[in-house]
Amino acid sequence: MMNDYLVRLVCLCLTAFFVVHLAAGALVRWITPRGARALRRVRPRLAARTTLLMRWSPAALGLLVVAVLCVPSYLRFEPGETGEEIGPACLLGAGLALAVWAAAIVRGLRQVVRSRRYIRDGKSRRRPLVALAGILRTRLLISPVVVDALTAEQLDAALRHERAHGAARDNLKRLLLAFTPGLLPGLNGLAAVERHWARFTEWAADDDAVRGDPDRALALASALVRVARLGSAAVPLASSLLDGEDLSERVDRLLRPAAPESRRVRGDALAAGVAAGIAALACLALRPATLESAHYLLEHLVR
Amino acid sequence: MIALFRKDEPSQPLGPLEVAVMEIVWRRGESAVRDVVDLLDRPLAYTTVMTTLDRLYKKGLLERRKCERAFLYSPRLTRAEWEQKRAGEFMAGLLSGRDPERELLISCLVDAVAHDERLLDELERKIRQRRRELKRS
Repeated sequence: MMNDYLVRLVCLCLTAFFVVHLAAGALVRWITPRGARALRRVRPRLAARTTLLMRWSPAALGLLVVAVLCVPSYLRFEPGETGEEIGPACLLGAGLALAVWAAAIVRGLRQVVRSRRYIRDGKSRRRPLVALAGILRTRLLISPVVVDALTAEQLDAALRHERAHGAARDNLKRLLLAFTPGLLPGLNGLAAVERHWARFTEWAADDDAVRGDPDRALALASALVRVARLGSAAVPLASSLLDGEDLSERVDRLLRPAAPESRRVRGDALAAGVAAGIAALACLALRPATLESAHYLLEHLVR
Repeated sequence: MIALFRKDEPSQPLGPLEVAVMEIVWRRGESAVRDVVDLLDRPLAYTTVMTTLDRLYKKGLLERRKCERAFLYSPRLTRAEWEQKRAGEFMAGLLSGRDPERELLISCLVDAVAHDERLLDELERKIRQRRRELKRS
């Protein structure tokens, strides 16, 4: 009997996660084109943080709803012996939730394996490459052909760019992104958000490397073009100098830096806003009336 | 919900007038029909331009909102995004062929990318120009 009670709870949690995750993901997918256009006008680091938050928000919201609504309302209001059966819709939702998480874990592990194999095989020595690899203990991969091709200033600018990725822990974010579930099994659905994040991250690392110095900007721009001429390779889960598809736009940004229009929006203000939203949701969720309503909804979901 | 997960519809080809109108909206941002009429190279009737903008809206290239009694049109995709989408569709079309054809195509593409240095030449020219500007100042 206890087993039935727990199995119902697990199925409900999985289904609730899947429904919330899918709905929030659809909303994020819908706002992404407009949001990305607006974010081009703010500082790249803030734009990168915001896109990352957008990518994580469906899964985070799904987990939050499970943690603060599903589990407490079930434990409080569900009697031990009801003899209720789990309905097909609930089973389907639970199955889909398991499938999206399984797909995410497979995707993440595959990238980890590919990244480790790439570094272990020493391919970085044979192919032109400048990249920062590793998650906690980062290491710089730079192939001899790149060292020979760049001048001292260009190399310095390229290394500053990679150090900026290291300081921002971009590889850790890449790893977490790789393990973040897509909207449906086999369909990421939010790949555009990940592409925007990668672009803003590169811009932010460029800006951090240059720090407004026009000579450094020139050196980094020419390093980018020179490495592109060599045909730089990319390593999974690593921050390569030539990541992304917008070489031309990056060079233009470095040559003609434009002041961001809205400097007043600060990253910590954004984080504080998100934290306040989560706290407000948690407070609301802990009210008995909310839990009762949640349980009523879950009763319908389980049938 | 279904529309959100539907694969993006393939872009339809644009006629010369549609391209000219898109160029103006990309350059100018949100525009009314009258703005576009004024900026076109050749004199065209207001209704012609209005129909063209409506067609571009229906093709999904423009967004519009009502302002008083007129529509204001703005680009749904940046020029770069649109070109990327077209290029992606073109590539997907080419790569959907039979396996031997696909492999032949991929090897041709690798050659072409490896040897296409025009973009890099252009970027280097920009860098040289900027360097000269900095030295002068």
